[in-house]
Amino acid sequence: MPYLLSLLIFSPLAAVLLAGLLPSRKHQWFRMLALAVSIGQLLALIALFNSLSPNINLYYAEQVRWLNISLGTWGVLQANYLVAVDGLSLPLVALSVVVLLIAVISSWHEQKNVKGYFMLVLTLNGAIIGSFCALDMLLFYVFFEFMLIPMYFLIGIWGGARREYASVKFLLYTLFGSILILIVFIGLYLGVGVVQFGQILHSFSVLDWQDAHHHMAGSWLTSSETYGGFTLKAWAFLFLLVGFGIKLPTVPFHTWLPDAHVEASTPISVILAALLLKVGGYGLARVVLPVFSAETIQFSGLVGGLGVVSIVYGGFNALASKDLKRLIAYSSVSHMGFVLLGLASGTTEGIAGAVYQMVSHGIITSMLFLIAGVLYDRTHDRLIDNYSGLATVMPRYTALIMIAFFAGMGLPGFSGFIAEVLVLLGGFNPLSLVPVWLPALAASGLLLAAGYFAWTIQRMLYGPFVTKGFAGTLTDLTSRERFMLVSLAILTLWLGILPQGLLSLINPFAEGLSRLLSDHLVP
Amino acid sequence: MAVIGLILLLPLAASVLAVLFPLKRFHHGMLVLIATAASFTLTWFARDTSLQTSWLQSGALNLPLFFHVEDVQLVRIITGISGLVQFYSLFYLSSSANHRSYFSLLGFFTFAMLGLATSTHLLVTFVFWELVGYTSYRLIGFDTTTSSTSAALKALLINKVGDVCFLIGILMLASTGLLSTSNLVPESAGTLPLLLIFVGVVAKSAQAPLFPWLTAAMAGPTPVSALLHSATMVAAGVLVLLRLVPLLHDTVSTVISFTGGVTLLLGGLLAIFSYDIKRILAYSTISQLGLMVLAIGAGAHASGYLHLQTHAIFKAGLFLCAGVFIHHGVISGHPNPNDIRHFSNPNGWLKWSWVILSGSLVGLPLTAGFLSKEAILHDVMTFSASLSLFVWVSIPLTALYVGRVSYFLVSKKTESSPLYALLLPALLLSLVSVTWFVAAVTTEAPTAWVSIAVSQTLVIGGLFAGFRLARISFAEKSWHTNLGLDGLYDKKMPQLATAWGRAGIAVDRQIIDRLVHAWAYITVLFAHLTSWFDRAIVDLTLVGGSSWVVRFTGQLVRVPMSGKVQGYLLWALFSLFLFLVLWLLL
Repeated sequence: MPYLLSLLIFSPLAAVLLAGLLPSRKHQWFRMLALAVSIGQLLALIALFNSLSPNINLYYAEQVRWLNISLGTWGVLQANYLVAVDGLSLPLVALSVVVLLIAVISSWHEQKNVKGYFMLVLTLNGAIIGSFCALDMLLFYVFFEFMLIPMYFLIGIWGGARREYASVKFLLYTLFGSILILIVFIGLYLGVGVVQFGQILHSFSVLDWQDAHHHMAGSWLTSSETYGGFTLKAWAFLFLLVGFGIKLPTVPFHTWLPDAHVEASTPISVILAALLLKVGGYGLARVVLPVFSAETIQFSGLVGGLGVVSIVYGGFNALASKDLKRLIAYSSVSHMGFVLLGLASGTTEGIAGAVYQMVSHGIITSMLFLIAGVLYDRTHDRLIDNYSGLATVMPRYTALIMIAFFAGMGLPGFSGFIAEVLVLLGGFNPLSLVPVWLPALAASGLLLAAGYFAWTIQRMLYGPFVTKGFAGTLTDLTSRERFMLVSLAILTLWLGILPQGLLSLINPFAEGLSRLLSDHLVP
Repeated sequence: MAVIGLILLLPLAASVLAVLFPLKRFHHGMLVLIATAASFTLTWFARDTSLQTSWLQSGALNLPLFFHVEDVQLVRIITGISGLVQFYSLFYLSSSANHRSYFSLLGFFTFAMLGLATSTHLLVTFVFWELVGYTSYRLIGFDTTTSSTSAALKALLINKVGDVCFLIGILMLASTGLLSTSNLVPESAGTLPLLLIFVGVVAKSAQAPLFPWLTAAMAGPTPVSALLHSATMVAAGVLVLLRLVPLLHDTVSTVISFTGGVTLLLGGLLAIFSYDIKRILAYSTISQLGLMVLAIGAGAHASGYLHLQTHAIFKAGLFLCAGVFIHHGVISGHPNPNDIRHFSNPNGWLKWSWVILSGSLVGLPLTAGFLSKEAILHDVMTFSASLSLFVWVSIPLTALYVGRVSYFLVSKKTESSPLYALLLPALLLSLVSVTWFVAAVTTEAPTAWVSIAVSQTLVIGGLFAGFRLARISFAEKSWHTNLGLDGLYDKKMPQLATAWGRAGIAVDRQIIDRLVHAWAYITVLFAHLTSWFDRAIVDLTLVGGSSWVVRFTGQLVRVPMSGKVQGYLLWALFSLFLFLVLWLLL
């Protein structure tokens, strides 16, 4: 079937236009509209999986010429509407569709300005899927910016008590990052030229960018002049590392995350943690590693080191967090560190593990934030110490907490284990670009995860049930909450027990990227 | 699918069914028990010994799920003891307990333990190793009281330390291509990965100094202690160690045997000072696991493996006997049913089971324990005379604490409570212990008469000393439990970890966030500056200034441009006059 990706990207944006025409007092209409879009996307996703051509690198692609302006001696400005999915983006697109559906279900009882809320969520929906599909980086950047603005409003208007602070902090951090990204993208656009019919064709396509033959002689991409000790290419690499590192987030650019998560409402936290963070990892794997392969090898220790610092530092901070959502936010920092480490290893297993970890973390962290939301909805209290003995009054909730927390700990049988083992194996591989002690240190993150999750279980679920003023409010899961949590639990179990299906999709991308990197290794 | 697949999957299927479907309370246990019994029976029908399916493949990693039954007897012991414990639990567990999750966990444990025992690839072994650890965590904390769940947390975390080291060791071996235990090249691995794996073994098999979790684990239900924390799960470490035997070299072997030897004596010593039956048996388990580890380190693998099997039988039996004593104590309303001083003897059969099983523990003839203990003694003496000293000391030590406990249990007047359902498993296990001895001795008579004679004398002496010791009562001191290591694991280490965490949060708040805030303030300050520049310089000076210039010239020009014809005539004449003067001058 043609145009499935466009359908996935633009159906929510069309729904935004439609929603704008509807009367704002009809709350149910907007919920149904968002739900219909998400279910439609799920069907389109299934159709997409049936129309893949698995033997080529791009499983599915659509291309339309967008801009083509002659600039005289500067060449030709060309930007295409080029959307495609490969082993990196297809898993993330699938994850996005599922998580966005869960987020809509989780938003069902949102009462404040329902029309505006769902219009923003739908905009976010299209932008997220668009940024995972766009191979033309101008298009990617447009989608990328389109994610930030709705998210700013969703935190700043529908958030908790300190929502203004959190949303401004989020915006400051991410705008800073996107400026760095934009600078490099413009530089790449100018430095990459495809000679076609005697004309130099500038391009925003990442496929052109990653081909070293198209790096124009005499441009900054081929110059070896150093500024402050680094070549311009190295500076560009570092700019992008910071830019995408903020999104990921990696220590020390992570402090927006706990605040944003704590203040955002449950469905927004879910989208933020499960999908927006992935754009950081996606950007690194899509642009930074393929285009700046030599620099990736040069800085692999730094990248892997940042990953390991994130794993350990995030783990310790989670251990000392008193607020349940803050704990989960720091656990995200810790788990996303594995993505950095896997990418930095440069091996097939490591890169495949990084992508696997992005999908796995998306599912598990969604569960975790939904779990925090269940309590917050009932008591408006997120402090771990204010709960004890929940197992006696909420047995179903307890069972699902167990599943989510043990999945977060990386227990075998859940998707996180597969991802983390692949990343660590990649790190220990003799061909790995990172020194062996980095993955060894990273493995200690598993101990920290066991510490903060099991200790939380101990404090909140066990012991005598103490009411602290919310005796009657603590009812067990509603069927809506159960549906969301159980479907996510099934997904993480499925990916943990039968990993090869997803892994076979990822492998060609990981192999390609690993080969690209090893080509740049000095023999 | 091969029969071995069924053996593995039946307990898992029963476990999943039991947790998913609401059945009558008793039926959960029956379902799991029937599945385990079926697995046990199927071991006689397994023709193929291997099962392989592809599982995980990426880059250099190709990890199939490959199960291989090397020794069908081990599978029988696991499923057999599991089945007996499940049967026992049906009658032991109070009616208010959550049978659904309990039996589901027991079934899951059987599956995980079988997977661990039959997997040939170390990473797959690690998968089951972790699953076994998870089941143990859930079962220790089964009562959900604060004390039992904190014991569970402790078990989980101490084991996790081992797990992480184990995983790093495996991955280091993997990077040199050594992952499948079926084709290990002798002495091809480095010392560090082997030592890391051994840390995992130390944690799982409760060796010094990571043993305190095992005594805490006794907070779980007694059948669970019998199954996991004495007979099978704790032996997992020893099983893994046995797989790696071809890789062990001198340095590693020395570390292994000394750890085992120290644990052997330490466990025996601490068992003397306790009055809690479950804790005594836990220390005994620690000690006996130390004996197995010592044997493997000293090169006596075969006898170590034999002791793993015989120990599983007699220690499970001893725990099940202890459970009956405790059960009886609970029924008769003792405030402290675990205390051996308050025990009364409910049934004559129980007494005899205890005698046979504890005889097996000290290694008396007519029991399976005799076979393995004498074999270890003999082998260790052949391989290393100095290491055999540990074993020689342990023989009377074991007899000492066994004699002391047995005095309390056996000397009491026998009542006749009908506890046959609970007694049956222990009776069966003592029967197995005796038949094993008979079968082994009739096929191959023992030859090392001298060491047997000496060791048996030591055992008898130890037992009688134990009977005497039982009459001396003493107060329990703090080091009697776990050498006071509990303070380190329960308080110091968590405090240290959370202190690090708080430091991290302080860095976030005080350094990183302040930089971000400073950045924001500088931006705002700069914005104020530019806005001042806009107003004061650009608007006032430049824009205002240029408009002033325009206005001024406008006003200047306006003077002659009055619109009066006479004025214009006057200006014209004045200009003409001016030009005339210029023409005259130049």
